[in-house]
Amino acid sequence: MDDKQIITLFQNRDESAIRELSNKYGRYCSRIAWNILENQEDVEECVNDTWFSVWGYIPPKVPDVLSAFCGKIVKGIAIDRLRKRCAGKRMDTHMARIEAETMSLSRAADFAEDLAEEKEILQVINEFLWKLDREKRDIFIRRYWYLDSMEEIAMRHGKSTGSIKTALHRMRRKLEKALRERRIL
Amino acid sequence: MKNGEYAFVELFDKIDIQLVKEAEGEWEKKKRIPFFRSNLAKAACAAICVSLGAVCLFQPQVKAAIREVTGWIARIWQVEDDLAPYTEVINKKKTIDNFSLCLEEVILSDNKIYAAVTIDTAYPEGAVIGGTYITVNGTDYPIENVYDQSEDIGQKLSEQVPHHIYTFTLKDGKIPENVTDMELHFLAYRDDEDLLEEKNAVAFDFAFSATKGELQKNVINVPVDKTITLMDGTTIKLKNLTLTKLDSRIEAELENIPDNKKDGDIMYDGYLEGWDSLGNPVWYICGTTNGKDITFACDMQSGTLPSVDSEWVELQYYYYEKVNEKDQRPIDTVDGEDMVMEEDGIPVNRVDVGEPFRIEIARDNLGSE
Repeated sequence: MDDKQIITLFQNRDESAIRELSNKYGRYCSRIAWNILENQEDVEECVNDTWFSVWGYIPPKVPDVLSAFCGKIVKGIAIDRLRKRCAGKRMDTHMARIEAETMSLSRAADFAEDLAEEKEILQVINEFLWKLDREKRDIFIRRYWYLDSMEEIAMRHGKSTGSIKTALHRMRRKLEKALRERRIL
Repeated sequence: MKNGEYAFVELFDKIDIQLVKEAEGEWEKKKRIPFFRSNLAKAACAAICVSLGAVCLFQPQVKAAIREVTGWIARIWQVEDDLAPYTEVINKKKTIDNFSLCLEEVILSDNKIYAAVTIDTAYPEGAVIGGTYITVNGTDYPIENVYDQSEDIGQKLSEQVPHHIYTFTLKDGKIPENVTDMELHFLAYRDDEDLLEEKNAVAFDFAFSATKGELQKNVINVPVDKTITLMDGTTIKLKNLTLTKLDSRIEAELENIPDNKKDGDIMYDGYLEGWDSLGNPVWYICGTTNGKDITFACDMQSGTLPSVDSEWVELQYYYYEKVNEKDQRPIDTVDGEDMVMEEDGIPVNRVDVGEPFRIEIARDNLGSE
């Protein structure tokens, strides 16, 4: 079933919409949730919560890209759950490693005190991403949006893990530079 | 606005949705693109096959050329050389309960078994495969890695290209002498839920036989006598290099380990990097450790394998040392930009140990195991 048909089911309050959404994007959302939580039970609960959130959002919302729409919701739910699980603890998790990598970039997020400032930062990030060649862009987005491991990205691109780490490091530095030029960092 | 932990990840969540969509599917520009990937390549290949067809009955060398393109694994991973004769074309297909699995091809390498498998199903979500292992002479070995190209390539070329390549590494590091009976096992599920709950599984077992005799003709074994001394006094004694067209490993032994370190606690994350005599970059990663025995390995999929036709490999042992950012040194310069490394977000410097050394690969080492 294509995305438009699934959205129509949601708009018609047809409960089969959740089944169809789960059939189509269950694996996609589970993978994102797994990258954050690394626990199967939590992943299942997060993904189920995601379907019900989508039920709440549509209608009135009509997502342009249903997969990414679900991906954003599952990420939000999973991160909230991770925060509760790790409250006050330092843990060696996949997300902790991503957090360490993006420590300096997180200051840009701290800069955004209102929606206008956040929009300005996102504009810089979007411009930066669109200027990258397609392979580098894919590596960056797979790491920081889909939260893939270095090994998964290396396998996806047929490169060594070391070269992916290097490429990501360079891109982060470039993004930091772009943000500094706009006085955001 | 999001502040604190995961702030960047949460901000990045809001990037242009088209960027997210672009990165959603399988990466199309993979380094190892199947030969039939583009229509142009397909057309070119068809033209070659037609023209070969006209003359192949008369020219033995052309028959050899045709045999090369029967190797699915070689084609998918773009190995230029023919992998026969250590390829077994199995082409066994089984259909059970709306699942069809075809074991296309099996390759026995020095210490690994590679199996190319096509999976088709009538179920909308596609088949989910679990419980994969291989039995060799009655001993079970778990799956080590699966190369999956079922998404975009499989849908378009399901009749022509195997969907998966499964890799199994044998526990004792070597394929047993006189390999005879092998059995490849899969469990197919209709969706993730069934897989998680391990219900409604459909079992597929493929039995076949193979021998090691042919394989041994294709394995190069080179005795190595090189000792590398680390900062803490530990020595790594390289003992033997094994090389095939698919993979390579260097066996080594740790000696002079300081008293304050136990064998099992030792982590040697070192690398051996360099070139072969044909100019191919070579990169061995410290893979397995078993007490004082360690193995450095690389394979064709990593793209850093020495050629079996090379006369030597020149290697340098190095490791990465965590440092403060101010002390970080570039490891390379590309397009005028310094390249630096980091490990789990921490800056690291490359530390070379000893001098580069050369291992001669004499032709008479072929099949000398």
